[in-house]
Amino acid sequence: MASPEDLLASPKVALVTGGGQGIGAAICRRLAEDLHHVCVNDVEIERAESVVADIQAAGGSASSAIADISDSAAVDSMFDEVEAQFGAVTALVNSAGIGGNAAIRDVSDEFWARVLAVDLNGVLHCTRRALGPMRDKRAGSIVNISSRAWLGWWGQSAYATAKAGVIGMTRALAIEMASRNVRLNVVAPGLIDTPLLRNRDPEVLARLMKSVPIGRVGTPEEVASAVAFLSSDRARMITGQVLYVCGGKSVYAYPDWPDEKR
Amino acid sequence: MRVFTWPEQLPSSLDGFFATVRTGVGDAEFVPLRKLDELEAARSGGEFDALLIVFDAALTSGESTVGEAVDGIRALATSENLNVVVVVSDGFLGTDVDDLSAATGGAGAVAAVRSIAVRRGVTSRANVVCVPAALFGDEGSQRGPIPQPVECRDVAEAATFFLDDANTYLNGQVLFVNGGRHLFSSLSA
Repeated sequence: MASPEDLLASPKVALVTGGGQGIGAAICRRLAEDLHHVCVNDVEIERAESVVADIQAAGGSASSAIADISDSAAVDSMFDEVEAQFGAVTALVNSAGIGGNAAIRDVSDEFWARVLAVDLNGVLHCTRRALGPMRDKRAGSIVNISSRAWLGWWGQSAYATAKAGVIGMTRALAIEMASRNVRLNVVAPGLIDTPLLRNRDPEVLARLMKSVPIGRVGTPEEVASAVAFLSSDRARMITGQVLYVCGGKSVYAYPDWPDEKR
Repeated sequence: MRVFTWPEQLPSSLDGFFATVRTGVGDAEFVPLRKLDELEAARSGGEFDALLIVFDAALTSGESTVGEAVDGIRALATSENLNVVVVVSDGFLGTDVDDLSAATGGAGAVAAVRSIAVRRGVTSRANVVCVPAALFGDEGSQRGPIPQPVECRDVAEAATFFLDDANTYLNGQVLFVNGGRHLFSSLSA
């Protein structure tokens, strides 16, 4: 964990959106172990403070950063506050997102707009704001959490569109920012052990599991390990990568699916 | 953990590659193979081992033909309890050089690795590290959007990442260590 002396010697400031739970929380804890001061973003202060307390109890350095990332003005204010207190963000992880499962006949304009507002526009708001200082300092890393679902899945037209947009944005900006020594990459998780997954119908989950070559769900810590690697100088020549943390499900996996879905 | 490595001879651009990976992995015994088909005989029992292959080096050193090298990787589909990491050059994305052997071989190697990932995922895993062909003497430019050249240590870091027990949910992946060159190919996402 980062001691105050470590942080002074190597001022690394990470901001993790959606850091208050699930995969985002695991990323916060891992980046704190890797000697970052971690700004834990969430829309709910209790969730963010809980992760901050965990990190501090383990000897790390963290603070909460509350904002709804779908609101660009709120995002700008959050970054202003972080920069005033801790300096410019050197590692941004866009992890916040909302699910969205609906057959196309049930996809209302409001539903579509909400999914894209958080899962795609939120990434734009934070990325655009973080890139200013990174470009000026000619250093920085951004990891965007997409999803294996961008490849396409039943009932996920809105979610897949947003997550595909995240990949397109990342690849374009990876090219745009490369000469400034700013790297952007994507981590695309598959089935990960989160509260969202545990709440799924066991029968559906069992079917989904059949299409995972490794034969198990992944852990938030395994996603965090990939994010930590891509955020570090160990990956200094890696940019525009889409790294699937999915047990091989992204390679080729046709599910055993009931006939009514065909 | 034991890490088997192949081939023995690497190009000068990758001098010290296996030693750097060994340092990164920490507590592991590294065992060089003279031939890839020596692997099963060199293993013992059902221990979980790793195999680190630098595919193009087998071709440039003359230790293997393209067909032999691809067949050797394909044969790993019968292995159990094995973490396979294959380093290949990025020619398989498409190349304008005259000699297509590395590009076609690389495509075969990547396909074999991804198939192993699907077929043997319950007991084994397999991943690819993709690097600029210039590391193996290809005359084409190795520069990508990131202006610095890829160095041996960059490739070693990626291989070490796949060998790390914390990353066992990574399977069938192609990790491009090429400064973003792959972004100009439709095969890269």
